[in-house]
This record gives sequence, C-alpha cells and structure tokens, in this order.
Amino acid sequence: MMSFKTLMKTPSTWYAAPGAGGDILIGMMARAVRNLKGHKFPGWSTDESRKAVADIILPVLRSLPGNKNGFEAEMSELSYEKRRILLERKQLSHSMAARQGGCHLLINKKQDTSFMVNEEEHLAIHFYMSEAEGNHTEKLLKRVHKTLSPIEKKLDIAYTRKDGYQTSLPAECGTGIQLYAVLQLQAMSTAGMMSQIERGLEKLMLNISPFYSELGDDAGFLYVIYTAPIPKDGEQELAEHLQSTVETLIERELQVRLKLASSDDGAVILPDKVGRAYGLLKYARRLEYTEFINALSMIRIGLIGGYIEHAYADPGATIAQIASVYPVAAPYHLQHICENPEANHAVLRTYLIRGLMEHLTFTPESDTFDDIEHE
Amino acid sequence: MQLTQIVNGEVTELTLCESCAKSKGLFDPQSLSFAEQFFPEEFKKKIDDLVKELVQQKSEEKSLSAPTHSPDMLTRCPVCDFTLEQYRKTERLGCPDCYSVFSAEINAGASAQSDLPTEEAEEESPAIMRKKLEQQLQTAIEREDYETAAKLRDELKKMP
Repeated sequence: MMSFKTLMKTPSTWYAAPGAGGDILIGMMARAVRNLKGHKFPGWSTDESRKAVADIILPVLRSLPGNKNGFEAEMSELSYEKRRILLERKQLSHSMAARQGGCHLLINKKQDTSFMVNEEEHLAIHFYMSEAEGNHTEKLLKRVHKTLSPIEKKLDIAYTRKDGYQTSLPAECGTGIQLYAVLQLQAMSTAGMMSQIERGLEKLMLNISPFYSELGDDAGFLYVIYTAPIPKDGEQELAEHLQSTVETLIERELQVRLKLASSDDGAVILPDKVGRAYGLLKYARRLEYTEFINALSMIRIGLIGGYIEHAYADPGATIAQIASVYPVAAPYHLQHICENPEANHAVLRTYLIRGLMEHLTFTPESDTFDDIEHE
Repeated sequence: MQLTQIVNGEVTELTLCESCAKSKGLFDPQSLSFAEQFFPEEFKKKIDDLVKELVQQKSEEKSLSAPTHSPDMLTRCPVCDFTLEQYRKTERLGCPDCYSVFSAEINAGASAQSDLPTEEAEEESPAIMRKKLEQQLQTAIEREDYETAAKLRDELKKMP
C-alpha cells in the first residue's frame, strides 16, 4: 500500500502534469456517485451504518487492479494538515475533507482516481485527466464506465429505471455523473470578461467557479467549467456540449490574447502584465501563494506569446516545469516539506522558482502574437 | 406599479398591474407622493391596509398551492426514519428507499420545477412589446404625463 510520504513524492498531481502543448485547458475531471440499496445516506447515518457501508464497498475497491498499490486511509487517521495537502492537490473533495470515522479515501497507484467512501453519497469517485490527454469528454467517460462496471457488478446499487442512480439529493439522480474542465483564462480574466462568460454559460446550462475557490475569484486565472449532474439518457449530449463549449472558450481566449497583445492603441496590456510578473518572480523576496500563482500564470502566457524566452529549454518544457510548481508552492505543501517549522513560507516560495527565473529573459519587443494573427 | 414598504427594517415589496393599482385607488404615482407629503397619517394607514390585504391574499394563495399529502401517504421512511418534514426542509433524502416512500412529494417537486416558465417563454416578441408600449404611451398622454410619454415615444422609435 502506498504511504502518504510516497504519495507526496509523486512529482506532480494531475492538474500540474506536463501538457501536450496547450496552455489554456489544464485538465478534465469527472465525478461519479453510487449508493447502496437499503443503507442510510452518509449525511444522515451513524458511525455504525457508515462502517457497515464501508465494509461492503472497501473490499470491492481494493480488488480493482489499479488500486492494489494505491493509497488508503480512514479519514479519522488523516491529520488536518494532510487533508489540506490533499485538497491542495485536488485529490479530495471539500465535503470529504470534513468527514471522520467510517469514511475512507483510496487513491489509485497512478493517482488519477480518488475513491471516497461515505462522502455525500456512499461512493463518490473523482477521475482526473491531465491536459496531455486533451479535451476528450468521450475518453473520460469511457474511463468512468470502465471503472464503474466491475463495481456495479459486485455491489447492490440503488438504481431504478425511473430515477436512474439514486442520490441523496433527488434533483441529482440520473447517471450520477458530472463532468468538469479546468481552464486557464488569463486574457479574458484580465479583460474583465468573466461575469459575461458566467452569464453565457448559465444559458448553456453550464456552471463556472474558481479552481482555487478558497483563494478568491481569479486566483491563478484558473476556472472550472462544469455540467450539472447529468440526467438519465443525457450523458452523450451533455459531454459533447461541454467539449464544444470548452473549444469555443479556448478560441475566445486566444482571440482576446491577440487583442491584449496588440500595441495599436498603445495599451500593450499583455506584455505589461507579463513583464510585471517576470519582475515579481525574479526579484521579489516574499510572495503569498495567490500572487505567486498569478505571476506564474502570466509567465506561462509570456512563454506561449514569445515575450519570455528560456536560454536553453523550449517553451513547452519550461511551461511543464512551471506547472509542477503550483501544488508544491501551496501553503500546506510547503509546511509539510519544510524541515524548519519556523521558516517563512512566503520567503521559501520565491526560492522554488528563482533557479528557473535565472534562465528566463523578458523580450517585450516580441511580435509573436502579431505573427499568429497574420498567419 | 411597484410599492415598497419598510417597517422596522422589514421590507415588503408589491408589484401591481395598472388595473389592480387602479382598483385599490393607486392610479397616479404623483398623487401618491403628494398624499404622502401632505396627509402622512392617512397615507400610512391606507398603504398599511393595502399591504396587509395583499400579503394575506398572497399567503392564502401560497397555502393553497403548497404540496399536501394524502392521509394514507407515509410521512416517515420505515427503513431510515427520515421524515417528510426533513425532506421538505433539506431537499435531501435519508436512504434510497425514501424515493418510493416520498415519491408523491418528490414527483410534485419535480413537476413544479419543470412547469416553471423558461426565460425564452418569458421573453416577449417585439410585436407584443410594441403594442404594450403604444398602450402605455396612450395612457401617459391621457394623464398629461408628457415626460413619460416622450420617453415611451423614443423607445418606440428605437424598436425594429
């Protein structure tokens, strides 16, 4: 079984995995929930009934091939700091983080699936797909069903033809599946377009929320676009709907980047933002997490737009290196890896990137975006 | 016509159509403000009575449309002890068996949801909008409210 220490040693969690060149789509996620017939839902059950549910579900989960050498813990065994770290790695849901006895967390060996027993439902599974795998809701759904199939065969799942998979909230019954896409929208956020996008998505029956909801609305310029729990028979349609909306948003973000990069009206907003972020990461000696990830996001866009160049590495490799810093620089990660409890995290954070910054040069005269436009 | 009453910090808002407002004697906003200024006691009493009457009317309507349960309908799930009252408060259920126990209530809620008018349905066609604006313009002219009439005329001009 994987220890917490080994889990932490994995260089990067799903949303910080090296990408396939795209910079806007960071990753995708699916949530699938299932409940057992004849057992109280976790929010309403006692320690005994939660334990009874866990005793039924856990052997099935342990028998799944990918879980053999995975991580497993009962929530009461996890300290507050460990829970915060798992939240920072986005491998645990907020409602699960608050759970205690009889509630179990399993993370598979590849760390791309989290199984939560007695979360809001008897079983909640989060499937993560890094940006390297692209905007493929179909691929993600295939993985979801491949995992669910053996579980459903072995468990007596609460399902009726009329309701679909029954959940503690009747409004959410149906397929028991929700789909999410994580996007980095620096340009649209800088241009103040997020509330407009929120209204547009609402009309498309999609929702948007900050990826780092605890840090503020636009921390890291990262946003989650997600479907409501998918109703019975609506899976294919909603999956395609999310995928095409993500494609449109990527297209729009690129258009706004071009606009913000234009120096026609002398505004040069984007090079200015990138330059400020470059200066901050290169010379600041104390950085809070939010300003750190905001600056990292601008460096990412700077590398894509050609405003920043690495002396030796190509932009893709540098972006991958930057992406891997996101979870490591988070407050509870820093606290965990730092040997000196008195160390100042805001100071420590700047060291994580200083080595890389030595090799980066800010080239504000770049006309790469103009080239893209003319092409 | 919109009417807002604030008593001890409690805000009551009423929206009345023109004919309802007229039937309650509230036909001219300007005369309302005139009455408030010069006959504060009488004005307050009239508005209080009106608000009471309308709020009572609203709560009666609400209680009539509130979901009720037939005498033979179970109000407690025999499997998990979850009650109908708890479901109404939290919109959550206690166990999968609650789905069949409270099915009437759940279905009533679901159909009420689907009966809600959609945004598209609420949107009026330009022709209806024009008709309404023309009527409002006519009323404004009759009242010699030329400021409102001018605004309405401009709005009509802007319409496709």
